[in-house]
Amino acid sequence: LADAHEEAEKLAAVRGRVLAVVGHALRTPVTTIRGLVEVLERSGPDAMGRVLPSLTRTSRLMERLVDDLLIASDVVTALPVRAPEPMSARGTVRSVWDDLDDLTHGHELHIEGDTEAMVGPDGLRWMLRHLLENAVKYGDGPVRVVLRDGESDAEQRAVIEVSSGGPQLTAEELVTFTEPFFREESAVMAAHGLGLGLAVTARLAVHAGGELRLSARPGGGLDAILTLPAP
Amino acid sequence: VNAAASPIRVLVAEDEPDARLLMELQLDLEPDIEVIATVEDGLAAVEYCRRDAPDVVVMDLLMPRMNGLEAIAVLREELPELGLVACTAVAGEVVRAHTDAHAVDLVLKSGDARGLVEAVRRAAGRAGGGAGPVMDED
Repeated sequence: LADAHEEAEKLAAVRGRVLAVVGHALRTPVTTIRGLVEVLERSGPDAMGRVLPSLTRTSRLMERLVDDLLIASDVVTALPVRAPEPMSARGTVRSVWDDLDDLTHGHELHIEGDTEAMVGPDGLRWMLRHLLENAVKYGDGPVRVVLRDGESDAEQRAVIEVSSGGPQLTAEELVTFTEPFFREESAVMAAHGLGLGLAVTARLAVHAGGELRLSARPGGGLDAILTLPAP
Repeated sequence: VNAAASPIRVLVAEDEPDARLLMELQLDLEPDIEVIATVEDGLAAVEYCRRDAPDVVVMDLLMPRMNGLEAIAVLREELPELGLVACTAVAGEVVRAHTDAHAVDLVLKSGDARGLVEAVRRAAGRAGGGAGPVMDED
């Protein structure tokens, strides 16, 4: 009975965190969209040129947040559906980095090597977006990406390593990074977003026939190693 | 609101570009308010105010380099006459205690501009008395 009581308390704590984090992350884009529409109503077409790009960007951000929530919650129907095809990791890393310009502006990216992954294009972009975003938001110094061919269980693999410096991480912390909503609410709320990037990437990697492994870098920071099927 | 007075000069400090644009546009729609500049973090807000103090700073709380709570503490100390409005998506007890301690109006981010506009007028000492401009129909 004591165990059941403890379990119920734990669940209630997680539920509280989920609601707080989701509410916080969604409230800003929702109110921004509503506010921009109201501004357009009041100011007429003159404001269209300034408001429309913002409205588009904020709507897309909300769409991505909701998609991340569904994937992190193991809602299978939210997973990318495009068929796998050979994808250059180097080209995709560069293109995703450039798309994240608002966030990556002023940060350094070093890419070494290249490899080809057999994966759905939207899924690969999604995973790389989260890995790069994570390295920029929570890491220090340049982001380093190493791309190489690998092998596991006698099968060819594409290996994508994304690293950045940062605080020294413990084994317990590493585990919480891929578990949705296990991080402290304060840690998640100290940055924008849901704090689900690595959890989402881990799920997408498994769905694509690969895996995501995390390790603490000696001296501080995180190595995220994404292994995917090769063509 | 004193219609004859010059507009309330406002600095908006917000790191998120779309939320920043929204606040700027919401405030600029009011005839008695003029957004003179926008900045992306608390440190930039403090530095701006040291050079050219506006009437009111609208300060987001969650920002890089120096967050809004820290910037509010610095500005209260250095420029006690400056009007300050804190703006946030959600406000827990710590935030409320901090803004109360510095006697700063706290506004929840909203698609409805009224709360923000009224807080700016209060911070500028222009609230109440006389007919204010029409702010919204709904």
